[in-house]
Amino acid sequence: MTTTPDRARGGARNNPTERAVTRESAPPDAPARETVLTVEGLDVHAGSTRLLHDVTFSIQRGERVGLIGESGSGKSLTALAVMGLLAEGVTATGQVRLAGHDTELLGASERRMSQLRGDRMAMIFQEPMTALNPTMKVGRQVAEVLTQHRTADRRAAARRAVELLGQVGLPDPRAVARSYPHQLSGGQRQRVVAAIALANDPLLLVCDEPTTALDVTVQALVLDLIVRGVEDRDAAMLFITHDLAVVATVCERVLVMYGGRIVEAGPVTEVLGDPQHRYTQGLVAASDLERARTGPGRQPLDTIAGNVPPAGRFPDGCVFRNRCAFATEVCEQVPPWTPRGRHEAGEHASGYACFHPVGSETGE
Amino acid sequence: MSGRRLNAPLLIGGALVLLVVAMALVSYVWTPYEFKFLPVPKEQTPNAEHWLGTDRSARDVLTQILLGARTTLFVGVVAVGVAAVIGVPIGILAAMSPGGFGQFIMRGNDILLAFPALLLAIMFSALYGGGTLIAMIAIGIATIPAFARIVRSGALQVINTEYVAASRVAGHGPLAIARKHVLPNVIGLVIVQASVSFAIAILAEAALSYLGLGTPTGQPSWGRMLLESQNVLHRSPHLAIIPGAAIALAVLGFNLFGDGLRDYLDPKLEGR
Amino acid sequence: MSDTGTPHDAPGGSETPPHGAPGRSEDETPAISLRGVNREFRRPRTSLTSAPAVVHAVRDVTLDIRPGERFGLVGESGSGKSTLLRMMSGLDRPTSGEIHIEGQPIQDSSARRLGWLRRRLQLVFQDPMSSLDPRMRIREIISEPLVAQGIPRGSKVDDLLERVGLSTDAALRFPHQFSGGQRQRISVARALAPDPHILIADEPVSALDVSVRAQVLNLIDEVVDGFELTLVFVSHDLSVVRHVCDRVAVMRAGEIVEIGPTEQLYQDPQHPYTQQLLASVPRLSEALAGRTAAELAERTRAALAGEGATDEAAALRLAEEGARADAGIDGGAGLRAEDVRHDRHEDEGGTIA
Repeated sequence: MTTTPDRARGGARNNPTERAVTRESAPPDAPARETVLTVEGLDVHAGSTRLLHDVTFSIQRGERVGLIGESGSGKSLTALAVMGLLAEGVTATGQVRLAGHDTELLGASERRMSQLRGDRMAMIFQEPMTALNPTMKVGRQVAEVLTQHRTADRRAAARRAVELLGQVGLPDPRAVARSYPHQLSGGQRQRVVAAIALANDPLLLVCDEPTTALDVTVQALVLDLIVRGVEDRDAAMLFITHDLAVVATVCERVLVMYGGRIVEAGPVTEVLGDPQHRYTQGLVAASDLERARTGPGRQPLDTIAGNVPPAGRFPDGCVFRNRCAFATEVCEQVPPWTPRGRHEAGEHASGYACFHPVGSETGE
Repeated sequence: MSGRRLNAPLLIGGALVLLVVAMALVSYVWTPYEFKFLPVPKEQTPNAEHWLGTDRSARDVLTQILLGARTTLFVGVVAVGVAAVIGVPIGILAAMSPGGFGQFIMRGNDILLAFPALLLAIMFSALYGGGTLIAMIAIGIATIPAFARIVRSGALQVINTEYVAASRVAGHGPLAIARKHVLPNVIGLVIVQASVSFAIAILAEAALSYLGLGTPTGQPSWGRMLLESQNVLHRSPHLAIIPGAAIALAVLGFNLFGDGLRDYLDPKLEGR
Repeated sequence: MSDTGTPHDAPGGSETPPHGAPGRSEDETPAISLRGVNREFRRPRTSLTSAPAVVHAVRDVTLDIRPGERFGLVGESGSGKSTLLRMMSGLDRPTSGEIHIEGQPIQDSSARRLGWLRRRLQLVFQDPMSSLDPRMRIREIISEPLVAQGIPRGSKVDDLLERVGLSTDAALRFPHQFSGGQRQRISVARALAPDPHILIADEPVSALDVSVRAQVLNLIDEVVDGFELTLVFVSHDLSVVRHVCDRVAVMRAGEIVEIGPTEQLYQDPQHPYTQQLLASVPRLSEALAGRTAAELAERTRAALAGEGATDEAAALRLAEEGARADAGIDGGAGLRAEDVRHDRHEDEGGTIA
């Protein structure tokens, strides 16, 4: 396994990579940063099916937190619950709080939420085409979020829109502002979406697989742009993806979801470099295509047995136990959260929920 | 593997459709009276002698309703049958034909679509003489584009799926693909369109009868009853309400039945 | 042209294919041979007076794939890789050029005369949802190639299900009752049904979850070995191709820009575009060692600079150039290509086939 020494990501780094680094990100660790988003005991039900179980995490100012999981893990649902965008018939209980707003967001009125969305909290979706209004020029769509939440006058908003489009690296922002979404490429559209999301300097930016629909070269550029935008504003970011390499590139801390629960959390280097939960271990091993190449001949890849169950059909107790080679009777209970080390954001920021974590084999 | 589940629309719709069918069948063996002018007071409200009353020509309403069910079924089956039997293959052909030919078919379809159904029925009646059959064939022909259009758009989606590509790689020709993949996957659309068209046909029959181009006077039909009641609506509303309710229930029944049948036939709704 | 021709012996040839099948390895006829293959699509007409635009989805591709080889085809969206693959499998025909499968030409044959091809070459598709007909039971799906070829079914469906790691009672169920990974197994079973020599896999794992992807890659690996297949593996994911393939071709804007043995191409890419692709892939090990998004982007920009990008805007333009030129060409499995004029565009609503 990778033997990376623990190090504070985002802090001053002395990495051996050669090329010039455009910008040093984030200031050195300042103790006790302000907590921007707090999610506590979030449960989501669709009818009688429980889709999220007791999801608890928080994100601090300037912190970039990844949320990884496979289909049915509940990662997108978590984002939608935070944004107050759950579909009709899907109910959430628990607590979601945003810094500077005392009220509980889960029970907040749609009117209150729409004041926050696009202003204090913003979201970038996977499919940029559906996130933009096809009948409206791009510049006006950016200007609209400005006029909606701030009392900027129309002309100032239009000027600011062009500025924002320039900031997200769009060539000739004036021309882009005058075009319709279909006249842009996928990468350009996603940049426009990012410009809209960042327009009001949100406290929290939620990204749901923002580069999954993009080609790999465009992905590299768009990831950089999103990270820069968040860093410049010292915003908190929740970044949802299924791609371990992307989350490791973009985030400092990561939450691993499976079957509607957070099964492991912690700094990226710890969770993905030295996983404790058996699911995380399997996931990292299964995605490691490089290891299989190092042996003689063609090695089979490590796999996780079985299939991801459809939503709502995960086992009781430990959600992973029906696919886990280490599961025993005790796994029929929900495993308690075991904190790992100390983290400034509290015990849920780093730890795992597993009765038989990696390294405990001797007990068998 | 669990079986397919009967759903509520299918059961309710099925019951209503069955009721219409039962009425039509019963009318072949039994009606309370003969369908003719009876020596009784006209425009009676429902009573022990005449369960649903008598109309303004002193004919028994229940008799007419039973006999009218035949016409209703006949009308729907002919119109929808003509439209579906011709429209579905046209839609599939248009979807599966290379560029120009498919376009040509659909433009022809558009021209037909622009032709009002009733006008076509009037034209047919003028050319071939009146009668329910001729009128309903005309309505059916006018309904072909609706089927062709909806089937074509459904078929285009099916044709662009990977399972059709897989079927081609497996070695199937266009005919086999149309039969094995396209038709089964557009049949849901066809059923829904059929139930809608069935309802439209029932109403069109009523309208044509009024113009004297549909069902001839001597033949009972719900649409006719409705139209004949028009002048006495203020004093004998039941003469409009009864056939109106019959038409409404039949239309509702066919629509529910269509929806239910579509869901019933969808394997995705079968239990895991 | 005979319907059941046998591959003729090609003159010359020196190498023995690495995974050559006995009985097939001694002749040197390439499994797949492309000579100057072009494919043009005409864009929908946007003006009455000017001629509709022509898109070159594939330009002048010449390529030999040896029997038993595991050949990878890499490219981003719009690179023409799917179009090329469709032509190899007889689902589409080139505007010009020649395609030989085991020595027999396919480019001029109508679908009806390609029966022999269906027994030798099969496909596994990308989308486990849409590659199986939702209204068919698994038994019918897997036996489809057998029925089409008039091969007796026997116990083959059960054997194949077991071979791909599914229980035989799956045969009576419908596709929606399976997960994505299981559906890809069914897809593989269907492809193996007529005992093909060549398996073409079109992004077979890109729609799958990571934990299931490894299973399906292992399965493909097993069946390619076990059935002694020639594999053509198409993907946009460079690391997956690196794992699976012996030799890789990189496509961009319809052309093969670089081709070579996998390790050589990955370790010492020659073409700027290959360098750029490799530079922009995020890797877990590198990210854990501290590579940030800024560095990844910087590396990508540096590689793009090799192609003349001087600033962010130019880099973006270059990065998206190929996609814009050919947008809408890749993918879409039309029924029509077989007996259709070339240069025909799809009518409204559909994708270009």
